Amino acid sequence: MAVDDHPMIREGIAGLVSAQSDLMLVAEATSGREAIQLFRVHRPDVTLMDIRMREMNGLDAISAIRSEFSNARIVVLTSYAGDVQALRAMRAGAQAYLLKDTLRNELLDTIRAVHAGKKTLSPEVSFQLAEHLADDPLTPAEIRVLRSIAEGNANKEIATQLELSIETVNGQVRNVLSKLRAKDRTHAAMIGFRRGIIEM
Amino acid sequence: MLTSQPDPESRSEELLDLPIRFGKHHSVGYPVLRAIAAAIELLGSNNSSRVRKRAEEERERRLARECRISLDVRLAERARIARELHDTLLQSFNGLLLRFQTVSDLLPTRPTEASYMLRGAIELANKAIVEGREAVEGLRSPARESNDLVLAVRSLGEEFAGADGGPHAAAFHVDVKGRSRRLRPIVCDEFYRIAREALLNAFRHSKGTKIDAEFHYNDAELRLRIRDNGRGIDARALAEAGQRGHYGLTGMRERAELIGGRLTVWSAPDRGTKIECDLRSSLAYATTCSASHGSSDALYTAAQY
Repeated sequence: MAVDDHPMIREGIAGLVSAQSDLMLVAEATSGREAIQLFRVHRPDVTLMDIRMREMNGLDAISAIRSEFSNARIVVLTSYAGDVQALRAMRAGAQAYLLKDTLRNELLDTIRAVHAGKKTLSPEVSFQLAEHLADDPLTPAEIRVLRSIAEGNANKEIATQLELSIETVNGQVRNVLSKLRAKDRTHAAMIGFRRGIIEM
Repeated sequence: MLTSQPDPESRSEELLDLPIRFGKHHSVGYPVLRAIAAAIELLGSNNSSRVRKRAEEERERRLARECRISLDVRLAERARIARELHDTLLQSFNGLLLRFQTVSDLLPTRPTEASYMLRGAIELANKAIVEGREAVEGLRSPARESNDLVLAVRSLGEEFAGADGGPHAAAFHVDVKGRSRRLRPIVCDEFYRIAREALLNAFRHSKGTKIDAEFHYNDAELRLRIRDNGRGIDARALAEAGQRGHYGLTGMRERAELIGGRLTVWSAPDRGTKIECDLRSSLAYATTCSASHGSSDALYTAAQY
């Protein structure tokens, strides 16, 4: 089953898969919600899942499918190499995390590997993961602060928005900058987007 | 443009004017009074320089704040463009690459299928070009260059009306209420794009015979209304269209919210569609002095973000 809200990606996958004698595309879904419904009907061996979709994103759909079908095998297809997002996807129950740029070389092998019970990542993603493996991760509170920074808020506004004292916010902003090794707030927001800590 | 606070310098000018107004002291009085005025100016200078310094600091603070806001708006716009590229053009290219890969896989053993796939890929490439062109057009707003939203929307609507010469050709009409004013550049851009999307829907899908664009330049707000008398959409389809991003509804709403406005859509089967975008005047209208004096309007705008 292929889940992606962009028709050309679905068409591309359909073409590639249909040309293989050992593979068959059984269903196409355009949102996380539809993916859950179609999964129940078709029980595909492997599901290809986009992350950013309008109606229920891929991560939520993976969690929902895996809670109902614990042996579901899901490959994430994404445009973003961010290590934090990859980690979230694997924790939600995905077996593989592939970048859309590399699909033509990696998709078929990945589908077969995942079907055989293996886990795999695009090389680019594994580099990113390796680079930040030893880093101190941001706490959920710090991620909320980073998201607010990225929305263009000053510390005082962040304090109001998150109902925190200004001292707490000042401290958390300092932690965010140092953990991300960011030069300033804008840089921190950019790193946050790139690593998939916060959504664009 | 005058600021509401009288300038300390203009007060000493008034003093100098006195003898001229009282004519009869003119010949002897003028130099004497000028000296007195200079002395007063000197005595007061300590005080007035402090006032001036405070005003200067206040102005710098305002400018810094305005700069930060316009930077934030630009950052948000950049994020939007990046998102749009990710969501459309780049996805299309990735889809195309998959197609070409398939063709190349099939070519040695199943050439007929490969050639069929290749034709499909050419169609897709064509679609990608159209998509890319639309994305680029979305970035350029003729309204901003002239700061004349009404004119830009009028020419656009007339272009659509002229291009659609078929059986469903609609009459396009523009109505302006209130005194047209200069808009903040970002407002010009976003209102133009919202109008463009709404007009595209009306001309392409509504099958209406009458399409109107109304502009209300009120003291309280700026309002744009695009209306057609076409076939309309029922409430359920409308809600679904909003969720799925059909008819560009999500995009229009996002644009309206980006500048602090509100988008409302009314529609009913066979009763046409009305799309309205409202924006508070303090956020909509350009304050011509904001760059040099930091007017109270600009300050109010700043407080809203």
